[in-house]
Amino acid sequence: MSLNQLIQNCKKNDAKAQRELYQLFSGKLFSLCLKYSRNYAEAEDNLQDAFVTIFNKISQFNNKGSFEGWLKRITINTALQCYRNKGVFEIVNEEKIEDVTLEIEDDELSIEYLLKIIQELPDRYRLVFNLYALDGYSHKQIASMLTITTGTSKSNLARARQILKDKIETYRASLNAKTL
Amino acid sequence: MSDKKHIDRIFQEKLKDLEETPNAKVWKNIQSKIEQPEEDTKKAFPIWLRVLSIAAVLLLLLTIGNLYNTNKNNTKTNTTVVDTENTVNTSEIETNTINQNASNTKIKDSKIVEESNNTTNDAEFLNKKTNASEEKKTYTNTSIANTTTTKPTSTKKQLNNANANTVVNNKTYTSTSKNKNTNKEVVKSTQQPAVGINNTDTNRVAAHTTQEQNQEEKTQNNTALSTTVSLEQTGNTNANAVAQNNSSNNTNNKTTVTELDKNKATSALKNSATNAITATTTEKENTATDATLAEEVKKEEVSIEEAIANAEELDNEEEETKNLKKWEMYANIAPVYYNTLGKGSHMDEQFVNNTKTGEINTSYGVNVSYAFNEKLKLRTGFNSLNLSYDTDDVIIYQNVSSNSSNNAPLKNITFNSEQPISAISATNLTVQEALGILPDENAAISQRLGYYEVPMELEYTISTKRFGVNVIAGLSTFFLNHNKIFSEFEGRKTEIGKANNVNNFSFSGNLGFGFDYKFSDKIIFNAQPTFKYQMNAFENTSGDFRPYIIGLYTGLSYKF
Repeated sequence: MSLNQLIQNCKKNDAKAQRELYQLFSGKLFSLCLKYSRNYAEAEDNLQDAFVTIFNKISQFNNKGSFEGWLKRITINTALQCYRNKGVFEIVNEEKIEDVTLEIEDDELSIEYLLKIIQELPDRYRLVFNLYALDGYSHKQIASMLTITTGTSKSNLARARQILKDKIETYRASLNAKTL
Repeated sequence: MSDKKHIDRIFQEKLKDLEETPNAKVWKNIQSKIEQPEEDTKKAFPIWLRVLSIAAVLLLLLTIGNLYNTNKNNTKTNTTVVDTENTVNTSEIETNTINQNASNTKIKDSKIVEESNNTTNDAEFLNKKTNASEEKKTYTNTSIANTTTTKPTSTKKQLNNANANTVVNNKTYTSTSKNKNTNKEVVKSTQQPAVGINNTDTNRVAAHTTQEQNQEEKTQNNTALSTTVSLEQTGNTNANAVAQNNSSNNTNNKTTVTELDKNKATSALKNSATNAITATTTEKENTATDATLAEEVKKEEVSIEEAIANAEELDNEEEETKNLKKWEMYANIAPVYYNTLGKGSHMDEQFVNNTKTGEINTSYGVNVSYAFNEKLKLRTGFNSLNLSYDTDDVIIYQNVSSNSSNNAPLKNITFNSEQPISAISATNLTVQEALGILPDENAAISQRLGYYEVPMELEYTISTKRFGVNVIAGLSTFFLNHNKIFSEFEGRKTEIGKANNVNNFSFSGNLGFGFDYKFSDKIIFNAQPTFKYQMNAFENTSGDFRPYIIGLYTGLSYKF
């Protein structure tokens, strides 16, 4: 069954097609949720909400643009929505910092570790870092999505990078200490 | 050591490959959230709510419209009265200037006439109201009486009262005789008795007021004069005939007065008012009096015409008020239960013996009824009705081997998918077979039907008290708008097709009881348990399939 056919069947509320669609995309979308969430459980909740939205709104998908992109947008929006509801956007310290290019050595850092430190970021830093660095949104887009200014977005991104870099360096240092 | 890279890039490259399989329970949760709500409950609720709110808004608009209409009528009649009076005013002033020599009296008279006319507007309006309801009549009369007694010297008001009362008299005369001719002769004859009565009653009134005998005599003369003047003006030369008219109409009028007990006050009033006229006129020169009286007569003519018009209007209004409460509008919603009387299936022979369960669904709509009389109403309307009906113990499966002959596809279902679908009734299986196939949870075929229903029913009222009871009987026409068949398996519903034996048009015989509670004479709460027997909903049914609908129709109705 082609993806198009699958989408068509999902539009008819065909349970089988819905299941197939889920199996096809849940992995990718779940990893997306993991990056945007604080932890595994929250990511699961997000994924669940995202899929409910997807199946409810699939009839609005008009084959313009990539289907996967559409799914990702819904998933990201769901993740953001959850924070909007929780009202965590205001908590972050608004002190502006310079965005310096941070370069680190690319060695064997595990995916799990990177995911872990992303999840440990304060909510808004995490969202901005994800949106900008991993999913290619511009600061302008981010600003409107999170209802913040582009300045705040830039500053949050710089903060996030700084925190991540610091964590990686201390992590490395501790590894080195162990190996020594 | 490898090259230094931008931190974003490291994350991008590493996390690109991240793909985690979520826990299976996530899918279960998603499933539970998308299956049921998709079906009807979530959708149906806002729809009926919307329909209900539309009905409510409609009711509201009707109420406002009604209020607005009655207001408009009032203002309309007001303005017309004012207009005609004003034109009369100007013409009267003209006649004043022609007829009179003394400039002082001229001004005086025209002033009086003007003022009296202006106030006549009010008086006439009051009188119009007076006719509209008996209670109001007495009220306005007393109010007029008050003004006459408290302000005996203010000629303006009294004059105006006199006019008003003569108008009342004439009006009652015309309305009782039901003679709606605007024919001038009728107008004349009706106008005369008013003067005549004034004439004769003045004597009596004299006792009440502090006026002298001489003045009374003068008044009599004056009024006599006025009649002649009016005759000349209207071009009627036969004085005797008029006199006869006078006397005959006089008696006529008197009888009307006695007939309408509540008008007694009016006539008494009129007497005192006539005295007031007398007072004014005696103070002036004869010519001036003539002029005023002539004008009065003229004015009376006009006001009589108006009175007739008013009377007609009032008649119309009365008819309208009688019609007003004939219409009634209902907005209703009902839980409906759908099931069959006999043991049969509308789907296939093999399901005849399966247990079937009707589900409780909702029907909602708007009805309008017309009352022929107090007891009997005819009503029609528009309802939306959803029905669902499960045939239990049926397993739907995709036929991998297309040549399984013993499980033919269902004869009355057209399937959506092109892949062969088969169904087995568990009741047709042997125990071993059933154990192999049957799941723990029940499997069923669920049929969903949606209809638009147009009922045509007679409602006979048994009790018309605040708690009313009535019987309803009639027919409904059903228009099919929704036809789906779902397979229910392990609590999940999958649409598999639609029934091909459901008639687009079908009928039902309806029988119900109605209980109502009247919050006011306009707003009524209804509860009507109704049984509807469907007559030709399905073709090709197997066994004895006789579907029926039971609904408890509840709602509010508005009478107008």
